[in-house]
Amino acid sequence: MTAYKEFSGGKLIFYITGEIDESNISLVREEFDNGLALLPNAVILDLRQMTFIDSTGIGMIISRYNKLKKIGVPLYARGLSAQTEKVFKTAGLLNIIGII
Amino acid sequence: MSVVNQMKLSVSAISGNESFVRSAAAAFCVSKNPSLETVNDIKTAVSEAATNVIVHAYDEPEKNFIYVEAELFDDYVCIIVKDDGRGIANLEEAMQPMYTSKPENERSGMGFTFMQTFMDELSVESEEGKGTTVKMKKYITKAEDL
Repeated sequence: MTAYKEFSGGKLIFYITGEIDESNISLVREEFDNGLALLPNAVILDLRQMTFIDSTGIGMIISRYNKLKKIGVPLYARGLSAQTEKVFKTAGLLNIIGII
Repeated sequence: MSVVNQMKLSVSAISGNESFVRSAAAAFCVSKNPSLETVNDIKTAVSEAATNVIVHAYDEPEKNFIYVEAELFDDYVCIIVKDDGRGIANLEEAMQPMYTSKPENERSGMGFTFMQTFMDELSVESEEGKGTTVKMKKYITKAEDL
């Protein structure tokens, strides 16, 4: 698993690769929050190379979504695999996060 | 229909074993030529069950175990994930979507919901002080059927 970010023009793109679960979620959280500390005006989760996510990762995303919503910053996701899409759908995330 | 293969696995209840446990459960079914979706459904559900053991079952997870048992049939697999930890006091509450006993850890409370959604049958038994047993059944969609 790796998590890294790009920040330009006020837009944060946050990349997750490999499998995320309980064993590495704290690293993902930390890196994501480092990105949010840059005060982006939009956040894109790039998940093209993420090969596995379960409810632990979903909890992390929902928590960030709620924080961003309070300050009016939109959160988008792109590059969902079939497994990721099914997990997002089950958690109701497809209705609240823009898929681009 | 008779069992064609059986597996028993005991590993330390540490988060570093989550990937191993879900991959082992999925790999156990490979001889039945499952579709990628079936493989991913099994991985996701088993990962949820393993996460529950690691996060909730034990005071000292590193000194305790996740137990996985599986039986493979021609067109379905039964997978048991269990622990001998503290057990769940209120199972009905624990299985409610969005319920979590650890909201401070940013947990979604979706674990049992995912197991129910991704598998065909789910049953959970738990006894305080004795542990929790999650039984799941999944019909295997064959790759060539798609």
